[in-house]
Amino acid sequence: MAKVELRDLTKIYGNNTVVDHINLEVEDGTLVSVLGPSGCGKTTTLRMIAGFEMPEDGDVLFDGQSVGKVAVNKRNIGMVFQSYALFPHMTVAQNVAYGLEQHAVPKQEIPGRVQEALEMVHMEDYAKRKPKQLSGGQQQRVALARALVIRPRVLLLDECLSALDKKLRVEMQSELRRILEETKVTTFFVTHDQEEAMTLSDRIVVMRDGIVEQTGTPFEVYERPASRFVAGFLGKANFIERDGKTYAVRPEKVKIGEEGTQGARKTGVISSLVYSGNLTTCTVDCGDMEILAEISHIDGAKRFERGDRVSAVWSDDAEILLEEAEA
Amino acid sequence: MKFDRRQALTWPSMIMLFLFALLPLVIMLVTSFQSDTTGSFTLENYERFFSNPTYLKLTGKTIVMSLAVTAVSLLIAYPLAYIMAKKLRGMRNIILVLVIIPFFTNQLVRVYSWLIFLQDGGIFNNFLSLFGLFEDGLGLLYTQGAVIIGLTHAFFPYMVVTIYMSLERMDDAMLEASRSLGASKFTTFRRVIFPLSMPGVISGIMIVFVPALGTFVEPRILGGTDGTVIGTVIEDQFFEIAAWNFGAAIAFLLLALVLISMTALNMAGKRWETE
Repeated sequence: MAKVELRDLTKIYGNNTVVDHINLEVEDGTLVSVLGPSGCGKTTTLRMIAGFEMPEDGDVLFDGQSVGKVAVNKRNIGMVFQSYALFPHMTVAQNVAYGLEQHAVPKQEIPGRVQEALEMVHMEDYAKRKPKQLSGGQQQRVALARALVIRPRVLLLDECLSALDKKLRVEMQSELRRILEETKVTTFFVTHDQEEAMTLSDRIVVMRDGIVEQTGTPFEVYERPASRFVAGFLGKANFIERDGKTYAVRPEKVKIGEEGTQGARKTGVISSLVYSGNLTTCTVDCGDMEILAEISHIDGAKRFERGDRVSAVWSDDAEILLEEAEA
Repeated sequence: MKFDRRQALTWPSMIMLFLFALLPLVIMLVTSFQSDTTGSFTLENYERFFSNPTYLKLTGKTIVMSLAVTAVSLLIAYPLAYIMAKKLRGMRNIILVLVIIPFFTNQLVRVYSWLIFLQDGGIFNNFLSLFGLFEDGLGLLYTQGAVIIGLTHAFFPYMVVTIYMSLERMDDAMLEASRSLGASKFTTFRRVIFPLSMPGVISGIMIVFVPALGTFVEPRILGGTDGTVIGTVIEDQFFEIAAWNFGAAIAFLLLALVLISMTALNMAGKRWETE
């Protein structure tokens, strides 16, 4: 378990700077999601922390000590891969024991540690199976047990839930949260799924084109996005230009009323209504722009139809000033 | 029985298989149990083989030679396949073409070029002479060593391909997982890469060892008098002394040896199955 610092970390492939001087400080025991679209450098960053990629510039520090020159197998990290990467010729128990053997754990301690790790992920009944006899979710659990059993200083998870179906993924998210709270290991979780990042992590690092756009708690990055990109990437947002400044307004903060409602900010025609159970997403065509509103059904608000002329209303607090207006 | 049109499509190949593969084998099998003189059923051809220690010794020699060819092929093929699959990916096609060229070369051309290359005063010898080595001649041609060189050249490309395929489809994340769990590169090779490439190694061994057992061209041309193996003995029975019945019997014993070794290898291969 360690505090992790990235200092000016840079990775260049040819003349393509994939990760551009990023700085980050992660307190011991924190679960950090590294979030961004594909190609933003998040996986490369993770691989530099692991030691699979050598940075062109900058350094990685565990507990204040540089690990830049430390080989992967000496860094004491745990990693879970997108493909799980279990050893197919070994049983579940042998897979989990592998790391302990490499760390020269006394032979008589190994079975106990393996059992303990498998119990933690509820896979103790499958110890004698081969990976191919397990489902995707079960392989995922074994991969997690294998990474955690060596009590790593840092746990690295590379899009490791993305291969699971939605229901299983949500289940594994809460499971993961529980396990990581138990082990208190500093964790980097790379994902392109903003919902996953929100529900899982203590902190979110939003990356784009090799740079960190914003770092903060899920609440901070959602409620106070620093840029248009962050606002648009984490959830949906309406962008309002006024006095040369750009503001973001979350669709759930927009209320829809009949035309002429007091305090109307925009007026237009409903161009689409999408019902999704707990809410209805309503697009209002205001001529110069479209306003997205998410109407929850609890308040028994009036139901509108497509083609209705309506007014969109929101409070001043709902407007988030973005630091930089982008074209 | 109802006429099934889809089944009818398989008939031409079935007939081909029967005419050109199965039928000759049956004829050979019958021949091997026929007496040279009377043509009646007999076991004397097989008895003759087992009662003469020379033939048993030759069988032993053939097996040892085939094992040597297999071992040398493995030593050359594994590193080559590994480099192609894991290290020099950009060059894999060039290496593959270079490896496969022997496939496309006529067997006699290939063997005779070794003859020219290896003979005393030949290219290889002259090259070594430049360094003052073997100035009186290598003495390599017409030895078992020459046969092993020729056969290895003929067969090792098959092994490169089988091993390459097993290494190629290995998920590199597995190797990284091993490293992240604290294993050195060597341990990763020993405990992950090598065991997972065993299916390729075993089919490679099979694909080299089996044809090496029955070969007769390389031993004849490169081995001279030292090159007598079961394959050349069989050839002699058919083309030199017209002892077809005895030749057929030896050929069937060789087939039995092939089947036994394939079964053994298959059983060995079970250990590395991942299911």
